[in-house]
Amino acid sequence: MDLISKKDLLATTGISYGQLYRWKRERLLPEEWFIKQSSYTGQETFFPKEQVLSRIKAILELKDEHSLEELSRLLMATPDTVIAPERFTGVRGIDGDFPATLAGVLGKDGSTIGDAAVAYAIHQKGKELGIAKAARADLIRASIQAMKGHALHDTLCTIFAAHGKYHACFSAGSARPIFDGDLEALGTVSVGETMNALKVALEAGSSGELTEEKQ
Amino acid sequence: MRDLTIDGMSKIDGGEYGMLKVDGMATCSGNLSAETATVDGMFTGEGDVSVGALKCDGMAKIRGNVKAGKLEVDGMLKVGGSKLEADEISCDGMIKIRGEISADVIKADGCIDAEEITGDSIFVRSHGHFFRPFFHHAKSRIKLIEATTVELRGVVADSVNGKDVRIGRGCHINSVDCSGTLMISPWARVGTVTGDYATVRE
Repeated sequence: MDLISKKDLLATTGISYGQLYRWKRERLLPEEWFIKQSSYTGQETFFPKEQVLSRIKAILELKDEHSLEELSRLLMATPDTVIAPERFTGVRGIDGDFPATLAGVLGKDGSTIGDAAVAYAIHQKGKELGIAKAARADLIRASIQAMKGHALHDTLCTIFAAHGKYHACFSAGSARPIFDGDLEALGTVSVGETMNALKVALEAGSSGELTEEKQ
Repeated sequence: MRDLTIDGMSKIDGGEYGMLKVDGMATCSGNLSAETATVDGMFTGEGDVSVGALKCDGMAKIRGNVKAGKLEVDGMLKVGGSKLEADEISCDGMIKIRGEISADVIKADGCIDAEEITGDSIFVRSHGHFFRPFFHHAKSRIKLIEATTVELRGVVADSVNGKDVRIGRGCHINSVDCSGTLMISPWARVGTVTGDYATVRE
C-alpha cells in the first residue's frame, strides 16, 4: 500500500491542519485513513496516498459550491442512484468513450452510480493498460455482476492476467492483494474514489441534480 | 422536542430534547441529543451525547463520545469515550478524556488532560495550582497537539505540530514541528525542534 505522511500530505495539497481535522470531523475523510505508525519522532500519521489525494482534490473542487454537510452527503452517499449512460456524455473529466462502453455493457436503461464506478474504474485502468475494447467490456460486465450488493466506498480493484485472460480482484480497505508468481497483477484502482470522481464530475455538470437524487 | 429541567435527583433513558437543564443530579442511561444542555449540578451519561450547545458549570461524566457545536466548560467534563468533537470549545475548568479532542477553535484557561487535541486554533493557558487548588495538577497534559495555530502556556506534551506555534512559560514539550513561525519562551523546556520555520520573539 502506497502511504503518504501527514506532513507531506499538507505540503502537497496546501491544506492546513485545521482543514484536515475539520474534514475528518465532518466524516469527509474516513477515520480508517488516519494510520498511526511509529517513527523516530514518536508517532506519525500516514494516509493511503491515492485515496486521500483523490478525496482532497474532490473536496477542494466542490467546497466553494457546497457546504461541508452537503459534501459529506455527496461523497459518502450510498451508490444506488440510477443514472442513464447519456448523463456521462460530454461531462468534463469523464472519458468520451465511456458512455458508449457503459451502454454496450448495461443497455440504455441506466446503471447505478456504483455500477458506473466499477465500470469506469476498469474502463480507465484497462485503457491505460492497453486492454482491447472487447476484453474491457467483458471484464466490466463480469465485475459489475461480481460486485452487486457489495460495499464500494473503500474498495480497490486490481486487474490481473491469467492464462491469457484478464480478471479483476476486489479487496476491501487500502491493502492490495498479493498474488503468487503465476498471476501477474497489472494495475490497481480505487473504486470508491472513482465513484467520488464520477459524482464530482456529474455534480459539476448537472447543477446539483445528483445531490438531490441521492436523498 | 420537549424541554427538561432536573432540579432534584432523576434518571432519564436518553432521547432527544430541545433544552436540557440539570441543576440537581441526573443520570442518563442511553444516548442523548439536545439543542442546548446546561449542567449546573452533576450529570452522568452512559451513552453518547450530541448537543448544539453544551455548558457545563457543574460536573459531567459522559461514558460515550461527545459531539457539540459549542462547548463551554467552567466546571469539569470527563469523557469516557474516545472522541470529543465540537466547532468551538472554551474551558475555564477541566476537561479530561483518554482519547481525542477535535474542534475548530479551542480556548482553554483551565486544564486539559487528553491524548490528542487537534483543530485549527488551539490556545491552552494553564495556570499555576495557586489559582486552581481543586485540580491534581495545574498543567495541562496532552500527548499530541496539532493545529494551524497553537499557543500554549503551562502545558506538558509529547509532540506539538503546527504552522504558527507559540510555546509559552511553564511548558514541557518533547518535540515541536513547525512550518510557519515559532516562538519558544525562555521559561519553557522544549526537546527537538523540526520544520521550516522563522523564529519570533516573545
